[in-house]
Amino acid sequence: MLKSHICNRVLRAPTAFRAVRAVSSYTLPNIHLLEELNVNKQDFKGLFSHSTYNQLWFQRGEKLIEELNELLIENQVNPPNNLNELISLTINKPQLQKIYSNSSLLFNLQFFLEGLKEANETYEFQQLNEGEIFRNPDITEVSSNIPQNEAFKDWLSASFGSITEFKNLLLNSAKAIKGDGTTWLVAQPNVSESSLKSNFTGLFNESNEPKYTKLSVMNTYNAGVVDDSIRSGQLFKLQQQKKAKLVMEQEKEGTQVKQTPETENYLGTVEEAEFTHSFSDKKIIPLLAVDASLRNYLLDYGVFGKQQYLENVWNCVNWSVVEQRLPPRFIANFTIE
Amino acid sequence: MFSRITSASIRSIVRCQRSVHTVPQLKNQDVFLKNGIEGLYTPKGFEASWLQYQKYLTMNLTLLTNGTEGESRPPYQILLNTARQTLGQHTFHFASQAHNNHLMFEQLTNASEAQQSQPSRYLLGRLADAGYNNIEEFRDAFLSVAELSIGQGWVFLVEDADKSVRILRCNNDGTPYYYGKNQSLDLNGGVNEGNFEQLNLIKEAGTSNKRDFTLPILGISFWDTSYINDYGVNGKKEYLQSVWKCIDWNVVNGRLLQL
Repeated sequence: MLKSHICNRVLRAPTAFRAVRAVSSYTLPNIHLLEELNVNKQDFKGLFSHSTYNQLWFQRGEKLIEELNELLIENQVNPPNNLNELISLTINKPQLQKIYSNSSLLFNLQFFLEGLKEANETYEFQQLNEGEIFRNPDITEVSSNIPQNEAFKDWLSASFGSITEFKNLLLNSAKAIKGDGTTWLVAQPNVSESSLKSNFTGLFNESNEPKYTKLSVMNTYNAGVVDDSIRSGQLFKLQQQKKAKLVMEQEKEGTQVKQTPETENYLGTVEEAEFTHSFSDKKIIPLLAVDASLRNYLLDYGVFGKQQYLENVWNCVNWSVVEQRLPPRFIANFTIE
Repeated sequence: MFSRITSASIRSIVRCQRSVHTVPQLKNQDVFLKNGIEGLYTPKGFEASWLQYQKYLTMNLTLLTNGTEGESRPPYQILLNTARQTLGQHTFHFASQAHNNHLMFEQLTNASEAQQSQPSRYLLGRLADAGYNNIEEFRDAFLSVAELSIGQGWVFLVEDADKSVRILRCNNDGTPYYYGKNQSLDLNGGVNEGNFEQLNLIKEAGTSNKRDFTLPILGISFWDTSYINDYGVNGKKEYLQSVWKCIDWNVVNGRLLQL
């Protein structure tokens, strides 16, 4: 009797536990290529040794997921189906900052790794020495691993001048990130979200859908995300709150409300600029991510190896994945500057 | 006639000294390179975190200051000089990192040796004033700042002009010497009222040209360069526990007022 009772509990407990977890938790996403390579402990040809991608994705990813699940339970947040929604949900909530950070770090990392394929040629990993600092940059026209899709190539050339110029801008932007961060190729729409919602745009857009005219390169740092339009205006709101509080206090005390004279040359504050600046309000679509953080290259390339690592990343970009992420291009008959 | 010209030109040559930035020699560097730091680094890990990284920083600093007044100045002066220059931020990065990294490695020694040193009574007194009743309490607060930070950076114990001490976090290449480049705030995601207030204080201090007399007395790096070789990508926590056990308190005590 006693024995069966114990058996029962032991058997039942894990099932119940699993069911609860399945509803309210995330698991590490499956990146097909990495799973395949990891089974045979193979290197990621031309970019990472086995130990490095194992640490970068399987170990770090697992840690981020674990922390995230714990935080979700702790803060009683019901997780949406995908990370993107979780990021939007938490991006402007300071009390959920840790959840936001973990989910965006994970999203950025996954986006980067999913855009990669193995290089055609093998690269022998070695700790590079200080001679790397003096290596002249390669100024010849880029020929290895360029996109094949003519329409995409055309859009890249229209936005950056040429594929070579695009490559230089992308890799140099990544090189300029000193701490943690990601460099992105993004598609940028012509008008902001807020103007889409207002009546004016009916003139230009019948469908009220953003039209993508331009490709750009941008950097995000630490847990930053590409499309952070939802969080804009936070500082402005806090400033307004503070002003209102101050006025209330002064009225209570019966003191005169001090007005700051606004001269004609008044430049405005950063908060005001952020609030009114329409760029941050645009629905930007990420196409390609290059993770420039130190952990990606310190182990296989050494502290002097960032340039080499970035060159190798270029050779491993899976352009067919990037092309799938492309929104339809809109070519305007005329442009309003 | 000739001799006078020669002597004048010699004097001017002496005045225009050329110089390069090099890796400073640590007290026990040769021993550490051979045996590592007991309880913290393998020989390879020590070489990567100190020698290789410091070489990377100082070489880049040399290239960026070549032919300028920064050429013969120590990193400390360069970082103060470039902190407010928008176009000098690359130089600032290498100067600030070189200085911070040196500050940290000066404090480190073998665990067995470090265990014999203790924070001075004066330092413990200042910590008590700041609300840390004993050194363990302070350690937990200090290390958790580093552990909970996202990305790269530094955590410092700093002394203010009024001799009080506090913990200061500097994200990325931030420096404890100037409030405008502390880089304590990471405004990704939600911004709370505390952060907003801190941002306003920095702005006000900047517009009123407030001077900063803050000095670091203890500094720990949580840059990947300082642990990835020995502790792995996920090894920050383990590294922080180890590095605490290898602090030579005699060095830290010496940075404070000696009574």
